[in-house]
Order: sequence, then structure tokens, then C-alpha cells
Amino acid sequence: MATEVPDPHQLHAALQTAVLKCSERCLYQAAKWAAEALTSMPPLVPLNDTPLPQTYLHPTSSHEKEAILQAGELPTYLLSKSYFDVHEYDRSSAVLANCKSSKSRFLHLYAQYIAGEKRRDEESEMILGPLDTAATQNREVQSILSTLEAIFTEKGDNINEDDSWLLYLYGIVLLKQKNEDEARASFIKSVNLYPYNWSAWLELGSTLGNLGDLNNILQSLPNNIMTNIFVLYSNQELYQTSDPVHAQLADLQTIFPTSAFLKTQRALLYYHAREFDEAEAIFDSIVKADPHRLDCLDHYSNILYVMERRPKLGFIAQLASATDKFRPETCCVVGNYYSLKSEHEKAVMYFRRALTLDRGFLSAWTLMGHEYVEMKNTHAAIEAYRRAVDVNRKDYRAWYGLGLSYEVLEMHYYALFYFQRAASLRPYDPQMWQAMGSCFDRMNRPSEAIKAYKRALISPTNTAPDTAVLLQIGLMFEKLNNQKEAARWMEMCLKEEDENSGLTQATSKARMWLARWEFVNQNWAKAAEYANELCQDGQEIEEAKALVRDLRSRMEVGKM
Amino acid sequence: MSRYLTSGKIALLALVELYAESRFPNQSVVPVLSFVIRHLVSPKENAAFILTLERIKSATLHQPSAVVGRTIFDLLLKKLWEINSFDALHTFFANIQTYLIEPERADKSPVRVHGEKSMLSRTSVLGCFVRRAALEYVRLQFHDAVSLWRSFIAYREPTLAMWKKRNLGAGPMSFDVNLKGLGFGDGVVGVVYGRGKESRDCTISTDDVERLLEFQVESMQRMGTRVPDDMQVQLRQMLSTNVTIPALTHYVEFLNSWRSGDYPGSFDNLHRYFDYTMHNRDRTFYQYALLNLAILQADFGCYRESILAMQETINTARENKDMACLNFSLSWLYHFHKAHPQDCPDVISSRMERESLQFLKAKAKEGGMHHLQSMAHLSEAKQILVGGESIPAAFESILRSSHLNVTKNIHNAMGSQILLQSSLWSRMGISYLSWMNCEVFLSKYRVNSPIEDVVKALCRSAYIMSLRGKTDEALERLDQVDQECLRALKVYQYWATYVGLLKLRQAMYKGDTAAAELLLQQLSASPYVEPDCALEIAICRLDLLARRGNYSAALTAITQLSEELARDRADIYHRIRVMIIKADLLSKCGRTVKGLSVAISAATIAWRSRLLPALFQAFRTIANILIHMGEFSAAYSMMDNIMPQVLECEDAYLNAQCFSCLADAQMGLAGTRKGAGRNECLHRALEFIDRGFAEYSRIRDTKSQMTLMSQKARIQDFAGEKSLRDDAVKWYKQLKKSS
Repeated sequence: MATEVPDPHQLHAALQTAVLKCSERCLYQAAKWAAEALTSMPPLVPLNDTPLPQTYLHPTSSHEKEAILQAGELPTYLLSKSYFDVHEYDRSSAVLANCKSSKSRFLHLYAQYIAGEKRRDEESEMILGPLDTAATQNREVQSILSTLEAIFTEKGDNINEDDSWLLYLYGIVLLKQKNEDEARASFIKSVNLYPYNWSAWLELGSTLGNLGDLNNILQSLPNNIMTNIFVLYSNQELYQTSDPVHAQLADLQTIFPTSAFLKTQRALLYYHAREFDEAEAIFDSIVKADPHRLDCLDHYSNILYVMERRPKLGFIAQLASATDKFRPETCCVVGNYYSLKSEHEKAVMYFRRALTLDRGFLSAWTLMGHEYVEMKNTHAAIEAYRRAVDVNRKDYRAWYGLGLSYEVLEMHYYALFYFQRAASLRPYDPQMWQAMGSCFDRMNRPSEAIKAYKRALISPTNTAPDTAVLLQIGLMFEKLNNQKEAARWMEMCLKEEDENSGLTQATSKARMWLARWEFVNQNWAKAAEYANELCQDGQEIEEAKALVRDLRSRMEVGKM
Repeated sequence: MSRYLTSGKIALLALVELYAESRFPNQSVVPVLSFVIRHLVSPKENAAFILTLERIKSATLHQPSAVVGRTIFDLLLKKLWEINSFDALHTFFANIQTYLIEPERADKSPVRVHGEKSMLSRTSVLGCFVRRAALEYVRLQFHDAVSLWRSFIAYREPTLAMWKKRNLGAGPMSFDVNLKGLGFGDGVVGVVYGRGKESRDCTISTDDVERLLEFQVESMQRMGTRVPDDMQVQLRQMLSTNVTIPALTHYVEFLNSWRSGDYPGSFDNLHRYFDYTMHNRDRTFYQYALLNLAILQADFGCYRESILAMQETINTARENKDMACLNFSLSWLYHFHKAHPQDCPDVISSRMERESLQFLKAKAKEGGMHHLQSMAHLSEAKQILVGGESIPAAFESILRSSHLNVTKNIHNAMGSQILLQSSLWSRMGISYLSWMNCEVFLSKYRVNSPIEDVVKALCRSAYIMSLRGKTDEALERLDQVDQECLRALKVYQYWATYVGLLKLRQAMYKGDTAAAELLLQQLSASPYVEPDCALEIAICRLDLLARRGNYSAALTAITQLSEELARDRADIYHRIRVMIIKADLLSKCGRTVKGLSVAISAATIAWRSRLLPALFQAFRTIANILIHMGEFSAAYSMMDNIMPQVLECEDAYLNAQCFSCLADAQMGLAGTRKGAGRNECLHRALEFIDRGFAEYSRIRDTKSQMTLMSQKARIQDFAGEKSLRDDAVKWYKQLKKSS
């Protein structure tokens, strides 16, 4: 990983070139990202003797042969690009059919790919309709793949910066064919040749399933500032919220002080760590600085949803729909708002709309799953979650949701699998482990349940253990007929009540259990003490009173 | 654009909520709730369509509320300003439904404890309003809801100053709680609320436009007026906000251009309307389209086309078993046949005899179509009158119609009935009653009657006044007509014809031939005039010809006129009047015997039909002829006998002519007597001349006045009264100078 701070002038020039190159190749999102990064740097003190930088002109290839080819094909290329810009993809692709330069070849194949995507979208059925199977494929993939392979065999090892784009495309089509390893290798090659193509980084990120994958590829990444950003981004995507990640982010922010992208990453880190107030504050400042920015607003709405800030969520929805009501992000925000107002049908309608706009929009699938759970339509929920997982295997909420849905259907063995997936993504989230514990419990595997529950007690942020978990562990021991151990956990639970959490339902249950246990052990005084406390607690009074009466009579008998 | 909800409706909902919270003391409940209701049910006045906050303010500002020291408007403001974010608006709509009684426990106790929530029953007017509003809100897409919210902010904004008085914390940004700490310059505010750009999207809903248009159509169809100007402005404003405009607009446009006499425009709009409504009403309204088309064609004088369209209408209505349409078409066809017999094909003419009216009456009665039945009775009465048949029978029919109008509360048939009655009285020579009828109608039934009837009554009463010699007053009265009424072309033409007629008469009496000629030209230029007006114009033309001494032309004209009337089987009254004028002309040309026979036959018919003014006119003509023939005493006794009734007719011209006739008879008698008898006759003649002169001077007929004066001078000369003779001569000279 690169550690030294790059020269701002060089970085500036590199990013400028990146913007031009990306937009020349119709990689709009990458161009946008690079331009944002560029403008988020502090303004440069211009060097005295530099002439007008070359990047203001048409960026030419650094390789002579390629540059000559490009110059010769420039008119055709421009024609093709203008077709692409007006969404005539097939035409755009056809124009470049016989061109030889890497740039032209890239656009030729890329346009073909996009045309295929477009046709696939057109052929797809209504979202979650009876015929919507997600199986519709991009039919161009195979031919693109073979063309690319032919090009690469022709070039052999003689590949340069200009071929990085072809490699990127190669990675994409490989990914479409679920050939993840080769795709990853291709992306790594691509970013090594030209690191400023953010789209390539994103695709690379999408091939990483867990932290191990990331660590494996770290060594083969180029020594560049982009690698730092990528690593940070991947950590965030993999829910790593440790201090080193924050520190790394802080380092990057010294280079790009006003970057909304980095700020968003910070907010998401807080969000993953369930520190909602901080996340909200950051998003607030982002919205204030650039009210037209819709990127990641869906995450902001999730945060507000969890915090139940209804007016604010409504306001953000208003803001988003004022900017563009046909962006998947907007639809998600609005859907979240309706969900918070318990208007689930409308929420589903908006999530559906988001998906019609972009079938790969992850949050919408997951949120739609949540809505279907609310509407008690478990089967639809499962399908929605499944789609979410197919789009992105790193979304723990979808895995968790799948688990919950199967739990509702009383298919615990299935549910267990999904909870495990969720837990592997969020190893320090007690919720996952707790769910897993209860699953084991239902399946009558108390010892595994105890392990899961114990794991739930380990939480990096929340030091005080959850009384409910303690109670559950106690109950599990009871199931194992290890009453003493159970009593020990119950007492821990009560201790916890005194120290931190205060009275909860779990502690009352624990107290009740203890009272009975003491009763069985004929420790009348102790039992009476618990029972009397219970009477004061206000929960399970009737049972407690009965117990007290019983105890009194027995104690009187004992006295006599 | 919204279907139903507007900011005004939100304010109404807030009022309803306040009511449901029992915040109204007893004395405020009725005024405020009736204000609310007035804006919910279909409105009766133009102003109630767009509900401004000002109107709500004026309705509630002086109503005390249950909170001491606060008016209802204060509470309303509080309620409105508490909706301080989009979310709050959402919550408001969710909350308002909690005031509805659950259908399961609909046992609303009639007695309410003080301060208890007053629940709204689900089917009450307010309950329906609340339910509809809540449902419409649920239907809204997110951005529509947001634009409603934005228009609500703009709507509420003017009350900020008042709200500040009660709530010191309020500022320019307090319309949305989410903007706390932001200023107008912030980008976020700009994106969400736009920079100073007004959103007028939700001030008007499709529902409002629909109600407005329905109101328009109803008033236009019922009253026959055009769209008033301010309403046109409002409509145009509504069109400019992109509300979904219902197809009814085209119908309103159609009626409007029809009334304004724009034939191609009305055609275009009618077709457009039916094209746009075709898809949702299918062919069920095809016959109505045809009906409208037929009436339209007839109105613009395309009678053949009109008949064809009407026949098609009748066929379609028969096919669809639409009795209402069928009966209406038949009745229309009947009237059309009466009005334009020469344009009807024989097939229809043969059917449209009396039986058809009987058939119509029976059908109307069967179908319970009281309006049509009442109209059929009136038609019957009219037919009786036109045919000159039994007066009691006519009265009976009018009475039947009147009974129906009163018992079935048919307001808009009142005009036709009273007008017919008035003309019946005037035919019977009781002009005062006739005038009375018009006046009663104008003062009592004006509001609910078609504008055409109102203008007809006005013209009729002005005409009667002019007959009495009060032409200036009559003209003034005609000028006072509401200009709004005259915007319909037909009505305007009717009115203008009457104004022209009165002026023409005036000019003719004055002897201003050039002016009379011009007016006559103008009057005859207008192609569509009512038959009675047409007759008056024709008579005036004859009169003018006679006054200029062109008797041969007058005779040809009158022969042609009487032939036309006979062909059209016109009103008997008209035919008699023409006969009398002919007799007059003949006698003036010296063919007295022929004139006498015509006059006598006219008098016979007039007597049989009890057309008294015509009868008297005939008598006067006969008397004149008798005087020519030297039968002075017979002429005198005939005229003397009818004089009281002639005076009752209050026709100044007729009176004057009769008086001069009497004077002539006395003069003739004086020639046959000697001594005291002669003197007595002379004095009587003088007396009659004076009275005749007075009548002539009322209508300012200078020529006749001069004739009488010269007669008087000669009599005085004969009697040897020099000074009186000189007076008369002076009068004569003065008259001559003035003419």
C-alpha cells in the first residue's frame, strides 16, 4: 500500500487526465468521481514556469504506435462517441467495427455491452412479477468475451496503459459469467496499468466477499493514492469500523479536504458502528454543502429511519424528489419515509420504482424485503432478499432478513445458514449471534446456542452485556440440566440490572427463575426475598404473589 | 395539478377538526359550519369556487371560540401553523380520520358532554368530506403530496404577521421546522422550496374546475345567458395552471359561442366535446349530441339540416328507449313546425296537427315530465289563440299549466305562462292587466327564469307603455336592461328590434321620414326576428308608405303580406290587423265599398275571436267609411257605444283616431241640423277634437295634430270666435315650425 503523500501537482494533473479519459470512453460515473475528487483538493498554487498543461488538450496516448492509430481513427471515434451520447449504442458500436486502436476497440465493445444491457432491461419482466426470474442475460457477453480474448492473445504480454480499459471490460464480462477469480485478476491488472479508473476499482471491490479476499489482493495493488482510497472504501463496504480505518480516512481527508465522497465514507463508518448521531451530523453537512447531491442519500434515509426522525426524513425526501424524482436513491428515500409512516403498500411501490430504474440497486431490494416482512408476505420478502443477496453478497441486512423470514416460516435449519452468513459479515454485531442462538435453541441444540449467545456478549462498542442474552444463556444451561450454571448466569443478569440496564423484562424473568430455583432448593428466605422484589417490580405480579403466599405458608410450617 | 385537494380544502379540514374537537361554542357552530358546507356541496354563486384564506378569515374572525379570548380564526391559525413540516401534513391527514365513528360502534350518543370529542358519522356531509380528503391524500404520489404542501405554505404565508402576534418565536423560516437555523440564502432551501418562485399548482383542483363548469353549464342552459366576463377570466386562469381540464370545458365553450352567435365556433366545440366524451360515455349520449346539433342548426337558420338531425335524434332516442329525450324532441319538433311551417317536409307537417299535442301531453303525463306537460298545455293555449278559438278554453289550458307550475315548483316555466297570459289580456283589450302581468313577472320571477323570458317581458311592458304614449319612458326602461343579459345574440336581437321599433314609431309620428326610413332599413336587415316583431315592422312599412302617399305600393305590399300570412297559417290576430289596414287603405284610395266589406268581415272575425283592439280598429274604419258615405248618426252612435272600452285599451293612437272620427261624425251631424242643435254638435266636435289632440300630442303625432288644429280653427272661424280661432292658428303655426 502506498504510504507517501503524492505531489499535489502531479495528482492534480493525473486526475484531470483521468476525467478526460474516462469521459472520452463514456465511463461517465468514473469521470464524475474523478472530477469530484479533483475539485475536492485544495486549490493549487500555480508553478511559475509551467506552460499550459497538456491535459487541457485532447489526452493522447503515451505510446507512439497507439497514438498514431488513434489520430487516424479520430473522426470515426468522435462519430461513434456522439452516437453513444445520444444512446444509439448499436450504431455507435458498428461504426468502430474495423478500428484497430485500443481506445476505439474499447468503445466498440463497451457500446456493444451497453446495448446488450439495454436489451436485457427491456426484456425483463415487471419487478417481482410472475415472470421476473432475474435470469435474463446480456446476450452480447459471449461475443465480447471472445473478441477480447482474441485481442489479448494477439497482444500477448505487450500490453500498456491503453489496454487497461479493455482489461476492465474483460473483468466486467467475466463477472457477468460469475467467473470471479479471473475477473478479479483482470481488474487488478487493469488498475495496475491505469489506477485512475474508479469504475475498475468499484468492480474490483464488488468481487471481494470478505476481509480475507481484500488482504489477499493487497500485495498486488499498485502503489498509488487510489489504492488507499480503494482500501478504505472496501473496508467500509466490509463493515470494518476500527480505529485504523478512521485514521486512514483522516489521512485521505488531508489530501481531499472537501470531498463529499470521503465524508460519506466517514458517515457510513459511523452508521455501521451504530453511531447514528455522528453519521446524521455528517450527512447534514453534506446535504447543506451540496443540496443537489443524491448519492448515498438512501443510506442517510436509513439512518433517519432507525432514529425515527419523521419530519427530517420527510424533508430529505422532499429535497431528493425536488432534485430528481426518477433516481433510485430518491425512490428509496421516499419509500423509507412511507415505511416509517406505516404505509407499506406505498413504500413497496416506491422501492419497485427504484428497481425499475436500476435493477441492481441493492438497498431497494433489501428494503423491499423489509416491507414485505411488515406486510406478512414472507415469500415475497424472501424473494426480494434473495435478489439483494444476488446483487451484492456483502449486504448483511439481506442475509439477516432472509434468516428472519425463514424463522417466521419455522424453517430453522435454513434460517441458521443465513444468520451465519450475516454473522460472518458482521462478526461483532450481537444481533446476528443472538438470532443464531435462538435458532439453535429452537432446533434443540442448547450447547451451540450457548456458544452463539456467548459470542453475542462480545461487542466492541457496547461493553455492558445484554440482560436478555444472559437470561437466554441461563435458560440454555437449564435445558442442559446444568442448574447451577444456569443460576450463575441468572445472577449475572440481576447484577447487570443493578449496575447498568435497570429493570427489564429479562431481569424480571431471571428473578422469577431464581425465586423458583431457591424455592426448589428450599432456600425459603432467599426465595421470599426474590419474590417480594418481584412484587415491587410490577411484572409477573400474580405469579410472584402466589409464590409469596406459598412461601409464607411453608415458612410458617417450618417455624412450627 | 391535483384532483381534489387544495390548500383551501386543508383549511376547511382544519375547521372541521376544530369542530370535532368541540372548540366551537353553540352560537358559532351554525355560521361556521354553514360556511364550510357552502364550499363542499355544489355552490349556488360564482364566488364560492376558489376559497381564499381571506374569506375564511372574514367568516371566522368574529366568531368566539370555546377558548376564552380567542376567536375561531385564532384557533384555526394555530392549527394551520402547527402543520410545520411535510410530515406534519401527512400526520394531519392521518389524524383527521380518527374523528370518524367506527362503523361497528355507530351508536353516537345524541347528548354530548362538554369538551368531549364530537365524532363525525361516516355518511354525514362532513364525514364524507373527511373520508374523501383522506382517501385523496393517500392516492397522491409523493411529489404531488409535496406540491400540495408547497402550495399550502404559499397559501398560509400571508397570515404570518397575525401568527407572529400570538407566537413571538415565528419567523420567515418557520413554515418548515426542518429549516431551523437556515436562511433563505441556503442552497437547501432553494432546492426544496425554490427561490421565490410561486407554486400555484394546487390552488385549484380538477374537482373545483368541474364544479365551476357544471355550475356554468347549468346556469347557461337554464337561463340562456353567456359566460360572464369575470368568469371567463377565472376560467382562463384555471386553464393556465396545468390542471387536468375536464371535457366539460368544451361544452361551456360551445354554449358560449352559440349564445354569442358564433356558428362555426359552436359547431367546432360541440363536436370536440362529444369527441372527448365518447370514450367514457360511449354512445349513450349520442341522441343528446344530435339534439344539441339540431337546435343549433335551427338557431342559425339551417332549417333543413335541423329537421334531419332531429329526425335522427328521434330515431336514436326511440332505439335507446330514452323517453325524456324523445318527448323533448317531439315537443321541439312541434314548436319548430309551428314556427317554420314552410320548412317542414310534408311527412312531418301532416303528423304535427293537433293530435301530436294530445300525444305529447299524454306522454309527458305518463313519464312524469311536468315541465314538458306544462309546456304542452301552454302550447295548446297558444294554438287556440292563434286559431282564434274559444277564449275560455285558452284560459283553461293556461290554468292547467299554472297549476302544474305551482304544485310541481317549476320555476322556469313561469315566464312562458305569464307572458302568454299577458298577451291574452292584451288581445282582449285589457291592457292594464297585460302590463301588470309583465311587471309581476319582472319583479317576482326574474331570478329563476331564462334570460330570454325576462327580456321578452321587459320588451312587452315597454311596448305597452309606448302604446300609452310614454315612448321616452319605455325607451329608458329598455336601456336599463342588465347588459349581461344582452350578451346572448338572440336576446340582443330581440331587444334591439324592440328598441328600433319604438324609435321607428316615434320618428314616423314626428314625420321624420328620413330617420324612419333608415330605422326601417336597419330593422329589416336582421334576418331572424320573431313573428310578432316582423309583423310590427311590416305594418310600420305600410304606414310609412301610406303617410308618404304611395298608396299603390302600399296596396301591393299589403296584398303580399296577407298572402304570406295566409300561407303560413299565421296568428289570426295578425291577419285581422292586416285586413283592417287594407280596409283603411282602400277607403283612403276611394274604394270605400270594398273597404267597407273588408272591414266588416275583419270585425266579424275579430268579434268571434274576441280580439277587441282589432275589433275597435275595424269599427273605427267602418265609422270612417260611414262618415264618407254621409251616415253620420250611425257612425256616431257606433263609435259612441264602444268608446269606454276603447279607452280601456290604453292605445293612444287608437283613442286619438276614434276621437277624431267622433269629431268628424259630429261635424257631419252639425251640417244636417240648424240653430241650437248645430251649435251643440259643433261644441261636441270641438270637445272631441281637443281630446283627440291631447291623445295625439301624447304620441307626438304632429301631422295629425296639425290636421286637428286646422279643423278646430275652421270650426271656431265658423262659430265666429275670433280670439279662439287665432289661438288655434297660432298653435298650428307653432306645430308646423316644430315639424
